[in-house]
Amino acid sequence: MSKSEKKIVLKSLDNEAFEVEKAVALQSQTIWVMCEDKCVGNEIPLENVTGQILAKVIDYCKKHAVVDGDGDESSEELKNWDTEFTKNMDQSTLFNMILAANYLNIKSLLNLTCQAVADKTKTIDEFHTFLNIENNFTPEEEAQICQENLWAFDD
Amino acid sequence: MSKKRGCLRLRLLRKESLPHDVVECILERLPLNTLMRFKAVSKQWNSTIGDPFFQKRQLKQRQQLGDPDVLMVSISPDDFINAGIESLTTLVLGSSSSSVKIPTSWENTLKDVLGKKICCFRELSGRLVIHDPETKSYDQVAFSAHSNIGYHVCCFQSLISIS
Repeated sequence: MSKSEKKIVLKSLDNEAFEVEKAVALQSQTIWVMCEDKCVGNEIPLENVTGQILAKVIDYCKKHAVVDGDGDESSEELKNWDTEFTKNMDQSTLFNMILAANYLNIKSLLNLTCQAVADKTKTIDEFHTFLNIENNFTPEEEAQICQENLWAFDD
Repeated sequence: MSKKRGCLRLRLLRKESLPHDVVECILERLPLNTLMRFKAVSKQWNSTIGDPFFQKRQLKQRQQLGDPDVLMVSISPDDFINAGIESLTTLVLGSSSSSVKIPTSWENTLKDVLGKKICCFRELSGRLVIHDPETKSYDQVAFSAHSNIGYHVCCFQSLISIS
């Protein structure tokens, strides 16, 4: 396998490109199937994931790929890393991480993020907020999201 | 202006698009008492939380977390018609190594399970005996009257019959 084949480019909804090791990306069952079916080239467009979220997903996959690879870190350390990873995520990020983990089919990340929601969310109100609408975008983020989805308003 | 409103609507749609199986994935990690309250959230949640397959997953999940909500033991093996249940003489609590013998006398055994409600199921009478280690009280209740305790009775039995 040549060097270029070991790398893969993931492209987010907002056209941010991430070059990662194939082993890192293949933790996503969705990407794995795409590669297996040879239905994509070296660049994989992920139309449901923003760059901000994809960067976090890749962080997670990198961490877990390294550990699976050389076993340098103990599972205890990995667990601590996982806890830190979700600890300071706000609700909106967590929500989008769940969507991304589900779309990309990364079981362990889905479990981790679902657990984080279960731990952080205690009341019905909190759940309503989490699952329905929560307007905690900054105006800039909102404008960006509108911009990204202009096509959706054309009918 | 219309674009602005459209964007709000889109956000609403985006927010509501968490697939229900993912919602279940979150719900099965919640403790029993929270789930009971969440039955009031919607008809769909109510039906999910009431579903035996969901309950089985929830029980397994909570046991893996080392925090089972209800531990069920029999008062005496003779109480059970089903011989399969009798074979469960120890039950490992989640990830911890503490195991619990099915008691022949209540007090000696229950001490080991600090903070957990002990639920004893008598199949013959169809009644539950609940021991609360905190209040040291025993309550005998009918199934229907205590749905939040009866919740795990059936799925616990299914778990035993699987293993």
